[in-house]
Amino acid sequence: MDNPADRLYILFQLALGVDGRDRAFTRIWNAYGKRIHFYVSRIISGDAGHHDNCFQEVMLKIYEGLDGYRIDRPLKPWLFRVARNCCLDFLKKRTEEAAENIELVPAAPDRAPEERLICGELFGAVGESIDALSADDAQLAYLRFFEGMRFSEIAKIMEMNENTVKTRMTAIKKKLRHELKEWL
Amino acid sequence: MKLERTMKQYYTGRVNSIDLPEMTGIPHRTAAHPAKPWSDMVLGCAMHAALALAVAFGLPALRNESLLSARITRMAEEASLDKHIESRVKLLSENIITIRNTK
Repeated sequence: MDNPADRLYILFQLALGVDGRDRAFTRIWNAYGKRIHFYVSRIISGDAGHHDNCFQEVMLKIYEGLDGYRIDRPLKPWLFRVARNCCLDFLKKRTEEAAENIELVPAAPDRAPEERLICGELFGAVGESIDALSADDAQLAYLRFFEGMRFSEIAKIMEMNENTVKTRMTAIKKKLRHELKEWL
Repeated sequence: MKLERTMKQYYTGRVNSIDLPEMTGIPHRTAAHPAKPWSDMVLGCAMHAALALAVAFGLPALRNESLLSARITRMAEEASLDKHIESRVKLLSENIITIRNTK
């Protein structure tokens, strides 16, 4: 759920001008930076350099867009919508570049060893199941399971119908339960 | 319910494992309260000179000096703010690159 204290703090700081904007951004960086970075890595495949480049773009867009943020709207969906739009632009640009130079398209990394190291066997299996999902479904799973967003909020971020989100989430859960039936 | 809990734990582990340094603020290389740049002062003088000329020549649309002055002042303020934001974005960009390179 969105933290009202963050929204109030940002409202207050934005009213103070340019320096307040810096402090508001620092708050966003500290509270949401890792989450946004992870979300970006769910959308952008390839090596970490691509995630980092795109993450940088996203954070700059958020900084530039702080004036346009409407305080009567929840902060988190706005941040993730900016991130998603920025990632889609990044992917589009990368596809155009790849058309000129095919070597720019990296192969999807094998994340399994890293997952197993960090989280153990169960979470390694979870990671593999998530990697088997489509990019959109992986985002839906993250926004729902970790960020705890409402279907209506996810629908706005993903630019989908709310009922479509519900249907896809049901399918995702079914698929994950099937993949992880040995563990759950 | 177990699936939801497992997924939440998995994501928590992954997100927490990200090595993202804390950003303690954009370096204020331009100082917290920067002096008015020369370019802004020159712009302000040019605007006031243009206003004075326009009023002196009696252009009908520019008769309301106070209103026009307020408008020009606001435009100058907005232009100044845009410049500040632009410079901060550049600083931020450099800051993120520095953080990334030190990872």
